[in-house]
Amino acid sequence: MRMVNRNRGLCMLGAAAFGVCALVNVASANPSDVTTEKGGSVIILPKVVWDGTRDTIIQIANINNLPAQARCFYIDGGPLNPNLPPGPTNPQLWNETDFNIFLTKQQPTQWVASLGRRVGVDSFKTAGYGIDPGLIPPVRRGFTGELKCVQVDDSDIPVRGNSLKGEATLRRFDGDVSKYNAIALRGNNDPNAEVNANPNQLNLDWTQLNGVGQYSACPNTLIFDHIAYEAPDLVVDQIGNCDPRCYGGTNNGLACANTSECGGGKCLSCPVTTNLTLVPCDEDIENQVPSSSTVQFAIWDEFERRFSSSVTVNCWLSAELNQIHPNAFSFSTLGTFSAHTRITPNPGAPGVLGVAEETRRDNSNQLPSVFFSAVAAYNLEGEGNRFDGSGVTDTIVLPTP
Amino acid sequence: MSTKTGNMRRMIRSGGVAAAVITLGMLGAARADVASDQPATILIFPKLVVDTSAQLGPATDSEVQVTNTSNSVIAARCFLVNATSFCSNSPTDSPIACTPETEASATPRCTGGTCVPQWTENDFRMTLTKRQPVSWKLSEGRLSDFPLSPSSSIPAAQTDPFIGELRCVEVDPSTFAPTVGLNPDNNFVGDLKGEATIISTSRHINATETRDGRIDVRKYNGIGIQSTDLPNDGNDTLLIGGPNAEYSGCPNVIIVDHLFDDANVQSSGGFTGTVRTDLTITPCGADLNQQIPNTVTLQFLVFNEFEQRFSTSTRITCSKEVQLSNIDTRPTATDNTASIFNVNVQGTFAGQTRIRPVADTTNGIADTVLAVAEEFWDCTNGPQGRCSDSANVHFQGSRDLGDVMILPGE
Repeated sequence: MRMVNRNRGLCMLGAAAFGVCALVNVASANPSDVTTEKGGSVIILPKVVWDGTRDTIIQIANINNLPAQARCFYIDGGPLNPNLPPGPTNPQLWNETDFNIFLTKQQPTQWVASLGRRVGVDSFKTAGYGIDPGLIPPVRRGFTGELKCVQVDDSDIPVRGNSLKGEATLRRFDGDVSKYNAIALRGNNDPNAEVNANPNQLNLDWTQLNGVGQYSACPNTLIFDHIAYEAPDLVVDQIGNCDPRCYGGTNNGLACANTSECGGGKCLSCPVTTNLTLVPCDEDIENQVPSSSTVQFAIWDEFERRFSSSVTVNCWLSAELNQIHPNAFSFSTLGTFSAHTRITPNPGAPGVLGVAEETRRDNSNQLPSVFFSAVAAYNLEGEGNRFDGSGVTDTIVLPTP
Repeated sequence: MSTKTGNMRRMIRSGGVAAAVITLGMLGAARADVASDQPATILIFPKLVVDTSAQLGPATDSEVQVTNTSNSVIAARCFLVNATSFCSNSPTDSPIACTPETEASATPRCTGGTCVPQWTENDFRMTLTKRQPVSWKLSEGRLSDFPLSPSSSIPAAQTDPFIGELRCVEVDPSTFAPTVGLNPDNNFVGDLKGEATIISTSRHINATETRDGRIDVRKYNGIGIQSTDLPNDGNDTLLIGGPNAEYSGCPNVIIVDHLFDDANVQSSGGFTGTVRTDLTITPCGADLNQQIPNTVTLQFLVFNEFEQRFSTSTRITCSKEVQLSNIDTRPTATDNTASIFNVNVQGTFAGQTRIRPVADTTNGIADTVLAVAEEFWDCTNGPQGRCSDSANVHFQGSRDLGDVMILPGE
């Protein structure tokens, strides 16, 4: 990294340095970016669920030839009162449960969130067969939150080995599945990288311009493409059945011609909906201080028309787009099927990371109030970084081991 | 319209190379990567499917989303590559599609004939205004209602059934010559991003058409190849990695974490069901001008949860979708229990597979590949009792050698 910086200086000397710059630059992809497809020293699964309807299958692997261990934290983002939406009078729990995992070289492992993984002798072809990574506790029924794993050494001190990768598969009671990659923060293993007095504080400030930073700075902007909320599904309309039906209201599931017939519901043709989950990059797990970030949404439709909205992410946000704003993401407002949304935290606010889930439906239900649906998760894309773009240094503070 | 013009592009192309290099250097221009989580100048969807009449499986279609993430007008030249196989003995005017799996089944579609792979491409152009998203259904394309650009149009898939891939290359909107990106916020590495959604339903067409409403969906991000900060000469030979790379080199190794085929996973509430994983692999390089597909040898290293290591290898031409258990066995379910990708061999549920393409050192070609993984689970909700998901695979390292993608002449 220092070499890159030095050569960047050479670049500024003029065209004579062109060849040097080119050789260095081409040889190296940007190692400091937050990534969903390379190993990292911190991996984040923003959406882990066991709510009685959906469960989560977690896969984590060590991609290096040396053993790797990690401290993992389930962070419960569910509201105190599960019967009410989160808000000032119903704060999110933000409880964390931590455990350690140990992986030998190139070892993959897996467990189901609701079941955890016990240490013991298991039979061939059963879920626990293999070198147990450690005792992994189950999450409580009703858990909705994130899983974060930080690579550590034998003393539980964070190390920047970039050995971890992961995936989460959300599986519904009827078998529908939805999968996404863990978001990885790369660690800077340059010996000249900055050192904190508290080794359990991780600075997310490693960027192309700050070669002595510790971990990848979070993206300055998340790029989120989605189908306009409740847009009719053109594909299912052809290969399924999208005759209009009431969604919600007193006539839920019945055929309709317009919304006035739905008794408070909506008359829709296989509406495509999207759920967005966001978590702040900045977290103080030691002091159990939840982080908060207000983010701005800039939404473009296919005609280059721009709309905007905003929301505050306290601890953990998982919401349908129409819960973030009732109109800004909707097909009735945008008028086009696809939309492009840029998510940018306010100046000075912590960065955010996230994942999206898209739900598709078929209206040819056999029972009046039952719709078949399927969910697909996908990772968001990132642009820029908070450290260079907004001067924000996000930190993760782990409990002292 | 508040769209900026491509000042950086013009500056570079008009000979201000030194100034551009200085500017890029100040911005920290060492960024260039192959990524599914960042915009890029080449966008590849390794797997798209159309099968609206449910010939090869459940009724299926794909929806493609492509977006210009920059503040400038950009254009793209796209290539829809049809890799569907057809029976050698089928009528010319109504070819019968097939796959290695259908031909190895008890009811082959090519009785008396063979299943012949093919590789043809249709190309089209699109112009995208600032931040503009666009989406289309692969079986229909978007011929007449392309927003804000009457000259843009997207054809439907060449055949139905269709199995293939889509490649889009960012080009200058006036000359349609390949170019670098126009967004200074990402150091000009490219402006295209995209997603593919593959949707299946339980539509059956027999004597009487039936649809019972079961639905399945999976989605993955398009894989982007970013521009490097070396000059892009704008010709139709795209240098991907290697010396003088115009585009970032494809990964040295692909890492796929998966559950071994036929693992019976129990989740909450006692729901159980087995899973299998399909991998679709496509070479990074391609000669779209001569319609010559690349052939690549792949080496697989497979690790289970005991750190035990196994290996196998295979060859692919053009692009290939293969169930993991069929990589080292015949494409029949009966052989799967002997595969090193199967839980009946490994015993553990989780596996990690590292895929290393073998470089063509004789001709100095990296022969790298890109891939996407799909899981197919037993379920009660999906068409034909199958629910699926998809995820982008992981990448590691790059190569000294490069690949070449040659576009048809304008």
